[in-house]
Amino acid sequence: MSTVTDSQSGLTDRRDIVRKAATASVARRELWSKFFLGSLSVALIIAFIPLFSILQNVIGHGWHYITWGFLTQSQAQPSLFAMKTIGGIGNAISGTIVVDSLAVAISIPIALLLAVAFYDVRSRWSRAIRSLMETFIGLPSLLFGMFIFTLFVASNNGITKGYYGSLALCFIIVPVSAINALAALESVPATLIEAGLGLGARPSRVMWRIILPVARPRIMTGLFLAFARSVGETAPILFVIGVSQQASYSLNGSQTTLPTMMYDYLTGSYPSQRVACWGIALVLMTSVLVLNVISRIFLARANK
Amino acid sequence: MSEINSATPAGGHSSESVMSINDVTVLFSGKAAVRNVSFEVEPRKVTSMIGPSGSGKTTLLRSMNRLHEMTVGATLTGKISLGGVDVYSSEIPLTVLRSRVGMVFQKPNPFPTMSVFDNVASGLHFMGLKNRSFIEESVERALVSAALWDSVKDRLKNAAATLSGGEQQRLCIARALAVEPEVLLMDEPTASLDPIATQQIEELTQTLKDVLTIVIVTHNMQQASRVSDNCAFLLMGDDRAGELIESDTTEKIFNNPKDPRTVDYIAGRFG
Repeated sequence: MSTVTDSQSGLTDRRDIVRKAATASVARRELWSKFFLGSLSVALIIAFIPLFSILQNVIGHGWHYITWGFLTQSQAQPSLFAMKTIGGIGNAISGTIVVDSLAVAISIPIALLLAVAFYDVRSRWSRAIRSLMETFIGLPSLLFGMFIFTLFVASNNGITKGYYGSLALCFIIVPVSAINALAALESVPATLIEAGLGLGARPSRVMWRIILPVARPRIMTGLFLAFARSVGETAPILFVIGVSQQASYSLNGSQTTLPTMMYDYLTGSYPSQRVACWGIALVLMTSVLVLNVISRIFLARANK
Repeated sequence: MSEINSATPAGGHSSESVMSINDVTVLFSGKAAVRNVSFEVEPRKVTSMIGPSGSGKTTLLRSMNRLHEMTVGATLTGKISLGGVDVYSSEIPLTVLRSRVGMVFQKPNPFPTMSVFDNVASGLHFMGLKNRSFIEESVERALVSAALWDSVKDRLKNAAATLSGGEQQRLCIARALAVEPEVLLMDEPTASLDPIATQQIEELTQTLKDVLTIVIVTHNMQQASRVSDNCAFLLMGDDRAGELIESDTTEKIFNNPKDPRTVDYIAGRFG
């Protein structure tokens, strides 16, 4: 068949050839499909083994710590005569709440302003600052701790304060939530913006009344993800907030958070404290999980 | 087409249908999108499905080559058959069904990373056909049939995105034709095209029906009356599921409809 023919018999032949190829491809596809499904299952199992064993260990070793006393009492120092004394983690919970809350409170306006500024100013400068933000996300968080330590603690006779930790955590929260918020703003359809501008609205009005409300669920998702990340951060706050063995909501004094308490306990000399870390880990894991679920809820709302 | 089967649910046009839709209900997550639709698709004719938005035309069309299954939670009851064989039975594998029943979509959707030639050849490649001369001939035949050959024969290697909107849609038709389908489903194929490109696609349907069967969904009643031999009119029922009001020859539907709702719709009193 070298010439194009529209003859009926030619068409039937061609249909036959294509149908045969299609039929033959079915068997081949099914075989490949089985092969890939098998490989995927194996990969899935391999991926789940470490995840599952972490969960199993944390829950298995940690769940019996979860009592009202453990969650509310302050820590107690074990001694040679009372090796098993650990008290509770109430001081670390209160510390985590105040340190992280202040960090979020400082970060939200900064992140939003940055996102709006990046969105609006599409100059070379804003692109440069944007990639700087992206670099910040990848930096080891210990650097931020070192920066705050040098700036405040070292120059202040080594006095540690809770709000130093909040400041250090801002370096974690701001870049993540600003980049997320920017993506949220950019996901607002241009037609909506044009509809607003077409009514004669000022750009600031369009931002305030149209873009931000539409983007809000996605912005919230980013904020909660950043918050969840900061709750688990240890390195930036370890050397700047010190230790507070009593529950305290003061940010002007030393503070203890769940991760720094874990660090203290793991590097301490009492086995009972090391074992109690499973309990702290379970509390930490659960709170991060809750924050992630909240962010998912916002995301589901955004995609509705 | 010698026998006359007066028992067809469609109400009396000739039998030997290539596709038959028998009491079909399509549900999305338990909610009916079309309900209890039956009609016959005659071979080598153009059948149009008309009706307002939400009457289930597109859903019905997509269920004819099982594309509605892309939607999670879609279920179908009733029977759709192709040449007497249930398209939901294992007798016709999905791949084979879709090579026999092709689809052209509302917006031209050529594969953006492929050339004009590769777009048309893609269906054959997917099936694993390797014969170079067969593929080249198929591509040329398909482009000739889609009335696109003369304008693209010198730029077969160009990216498909460089074509105009109307050319892109004819490219998509050529892509569907290259696997030699027996039935071509067209879902509002001219909705995003200008009047001249629309006219070209409409003329194309008239030449294509020499070799295959066309089912076309359209919002445009003039288009339905211009291009189709048979016509099915659907309307959204009380529970928001599409229902078939009547199906007959286009001539009868437009000049002498049985149902008063068809009269109203044709007259442009609603929809």
